Amino acid sequence: MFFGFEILIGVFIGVLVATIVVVVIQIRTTSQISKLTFPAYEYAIKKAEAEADAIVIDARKKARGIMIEAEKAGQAMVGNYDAQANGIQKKYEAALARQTEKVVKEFHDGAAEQVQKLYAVTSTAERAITTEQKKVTENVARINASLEEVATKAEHRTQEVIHSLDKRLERVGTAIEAALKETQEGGAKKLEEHLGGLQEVADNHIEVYGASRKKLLDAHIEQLVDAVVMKVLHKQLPVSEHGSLARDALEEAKTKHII
Amino acid sequence: MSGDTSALLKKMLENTYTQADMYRRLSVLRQCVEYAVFTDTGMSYEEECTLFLSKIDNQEDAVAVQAWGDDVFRVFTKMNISKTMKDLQEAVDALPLLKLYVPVEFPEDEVGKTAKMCREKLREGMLLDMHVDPQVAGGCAFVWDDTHHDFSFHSRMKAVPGAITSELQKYADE
Repeated sequence: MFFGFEILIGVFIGVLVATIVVVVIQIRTTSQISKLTFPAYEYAIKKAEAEADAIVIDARKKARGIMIEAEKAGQAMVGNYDAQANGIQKKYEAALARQTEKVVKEFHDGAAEQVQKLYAVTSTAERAITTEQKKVTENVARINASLEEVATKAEHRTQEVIHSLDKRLERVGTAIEAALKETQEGGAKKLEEHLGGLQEVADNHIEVYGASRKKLLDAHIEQLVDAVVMKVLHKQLPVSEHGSLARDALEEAKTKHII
Repeated sequence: MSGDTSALLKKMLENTYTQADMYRRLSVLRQCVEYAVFTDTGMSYEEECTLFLSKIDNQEDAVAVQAWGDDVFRVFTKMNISKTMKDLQEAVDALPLLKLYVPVEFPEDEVGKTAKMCREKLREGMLLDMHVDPQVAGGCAFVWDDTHHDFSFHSRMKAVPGAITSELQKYADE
């Protein structure tokens, strides 16, 4: 039993050593492979970069050529369009001048005819207006005469009304004056009575106020004197004087038969 | 001196004017004579009283009691101490009492003067019950027959309302 356990431990140690050896070999192999493959990988990347740069340069050259061709074609097209536009403009200006000239001529002809017609109408209207003006002048003269007559009558009537109103106003004024005089005399009397009553009330109030104020002031003065005397008695009077005053008070009580 | 309490009381009243002092000193006297009567120290009766009085805290009372004299101490014996003290207590209770209010606290001599005046002119053997009331300045107040009487300046001024202002008015008119 004991012998078997030692063998087991030996086998375990052997397996452990073998495992360590295998792991070390594996690490070394991986390291060597990495060292060998890295330069090839780096070379492939650089080559791909160089090829990509060459492709980009070619593409730029082709693009520049295409842009130059397009610019040339554009300039040629613009030249053609300018020539066509100039021709069209000249034709348009000629047609416009002709049309304008025709329209102006037609306008002049029509206008002269219309002016003639208008002159005829105006003359007729002027004559009619002159006739009507004469009629209006005559009518205005008649109306003025009527108005003057009416105004004279109205003035006469107004004078009469004013005279009548003056008389009435004079009567009313006299009546108002009499009434006012009467009211004034009664009011003055009443006012005098009222003021007399108010004066009496005010005098009473003043008297009461004065008396109460004096009473209050007297009380205040007495309080003040009391406080001052008390303070003086306490601060200034020696104890022997307090004793003397107390004995005097007791003797006074005796004379009054209190004790 | 015999067991006559009135004579004892008269002696005690010679230097005691307030009720509080009287009760306190009466208590001191009781303790003193009890000590002298019931303690056998080989000393004389008077010496034992003096010894006791020298030990008490209130020496003012001790001096006052000592001043009553040996005759007072000798009145008390083992046989009569209780009765005599009781009689003395009753006699003190029966003394006329004046409750007196003064504006400031009076010293002993002023209390003595006042008490003596009261005993001469008011009632013989009167004790005072002193109280301090600042409001009674310029006089005093007292309670007599359960009635409070105020003879201070304050009460006199209140009793004659307008007197001060009328005097002031006279002075102003001059």
